Amino acid sequence: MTLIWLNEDSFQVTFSSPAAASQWAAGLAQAAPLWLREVSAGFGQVLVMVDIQSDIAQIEQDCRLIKAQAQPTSSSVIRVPVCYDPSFGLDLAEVAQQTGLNIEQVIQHHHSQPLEVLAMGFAPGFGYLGAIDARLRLPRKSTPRTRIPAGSVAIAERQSVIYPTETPGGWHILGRTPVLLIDYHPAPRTLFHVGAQVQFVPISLAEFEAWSDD
Amino acid sequence: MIEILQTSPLHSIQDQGRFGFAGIGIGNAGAWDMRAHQWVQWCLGHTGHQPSIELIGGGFRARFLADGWFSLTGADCHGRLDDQPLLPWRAHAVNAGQTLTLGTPRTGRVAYLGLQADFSALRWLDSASYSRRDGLGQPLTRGLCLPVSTHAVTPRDVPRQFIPSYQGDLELSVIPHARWPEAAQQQSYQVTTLSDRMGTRLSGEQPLSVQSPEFSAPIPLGAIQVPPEGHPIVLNRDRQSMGGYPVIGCATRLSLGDLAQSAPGRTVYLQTVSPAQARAKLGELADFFGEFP
Repeated sequence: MTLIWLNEDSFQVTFSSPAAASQWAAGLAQAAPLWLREVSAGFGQVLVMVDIQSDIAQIEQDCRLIKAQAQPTSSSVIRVPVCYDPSFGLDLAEVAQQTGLNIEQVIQHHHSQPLEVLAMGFAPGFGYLGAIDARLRLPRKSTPRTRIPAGSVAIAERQSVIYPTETPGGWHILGRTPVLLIDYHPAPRTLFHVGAQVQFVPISLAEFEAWSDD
Repeated sequence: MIEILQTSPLHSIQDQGRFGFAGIGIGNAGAWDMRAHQWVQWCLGHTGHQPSIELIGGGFRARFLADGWFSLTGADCHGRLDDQPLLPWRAHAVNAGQTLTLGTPRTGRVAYLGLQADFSALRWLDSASYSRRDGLGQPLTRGLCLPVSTHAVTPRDVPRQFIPSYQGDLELSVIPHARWPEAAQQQSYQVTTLSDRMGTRLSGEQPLSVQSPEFSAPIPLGAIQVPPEGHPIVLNRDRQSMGGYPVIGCATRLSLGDLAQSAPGRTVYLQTVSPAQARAKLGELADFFGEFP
């Protein structure tokens, strides 16, 4: 195992797959050595921030003893309802045109198979999901939208994401989900975690409006 | 009680930051110039766990409704207590009814105000640091009243030799990564107007050409990204937690504070240091202040 120090108190470890990285990160978080300040994983990389006053040799030795931990729910599939109504799927027509598909096919290909959470980050609860159907792969929009509504479900390149809060962004919007990606009470808990399987499930506008988290 | 009379959207409550939640996409936030924050709390005999008021660009007024102490560090913003001029990097006694006024920075960009206030009701996930993007923390608004704390205060002034200068050329210390291009060190840069808590965009004489990574990766504090147009962006406390642009190195913790204080147009040189050298330096600060994230 090679620890590459990126700044004074953070190092990176590279793994062969996103799942291997997240399992090692989970193992480290579980072991919770005193020197650990923060750990995050994404796309096969783990970034670890340590207490600057701890002993480097001890940290490197502890890291070699960490046992990768399989995420408890990674075998079950997280079902995420998506309403593909044109009032939410702002870019459906444009994506259809650019991919040479019709709108029904775009929607069909988006939820035809489960996606894997490849990384968490960017915003609270935000997950990078992939890889989407090859027929839907498009570069990011040349001019980003200044406001993407919260809950928007979008695609770009090989990935699909859900915007948890209103933000600018350059991804193509296909629909909207009524579910929340993070719940702060009683402790922060996210819908996604790295390595989890996510299945989009189409719902109607009426179902979207009637949706309640309870 | 301390009542905020005048503030701006660039002002916020900040402490050492929020750690332990990057794995679910929650950023660190924390004081943009951590050194000035640590000193402003030191001036009251507090640790850096106690939050400060971070004042980017100055322009702030508050009324004290009880006797006590406050402290000022960072940019000199022509501070006045009622009509009496105040020097920064010091603790100041205040009487009930007096008003503190800060104007536009004379040098530097960010001032820190240490208060004898109780922030315990304003903590989310172990920190009072405000993050607009994450929707965490109490925004600083006109009319906000901060209750006085019962914390003991040991007022003291920062020794002269520790007061930094925010003028002249800036030597930015950088820990180089595998993608570090030699050309990065062989030119000067200027701080652009695109400089905020998320990051500072530098403009170089020659654009840098760096190979892009295949995948995005978690971004460490101080990461220097080089987007396709070739001008580096030094990412700071409110950086996004994942990024896909190539990263050529990391600015050291003290350099990040120096960038926060740099006005647009300031000339910057990049100076490489080893991780061990940088760690030793930050370790000394952490020993002095108790912690220096």
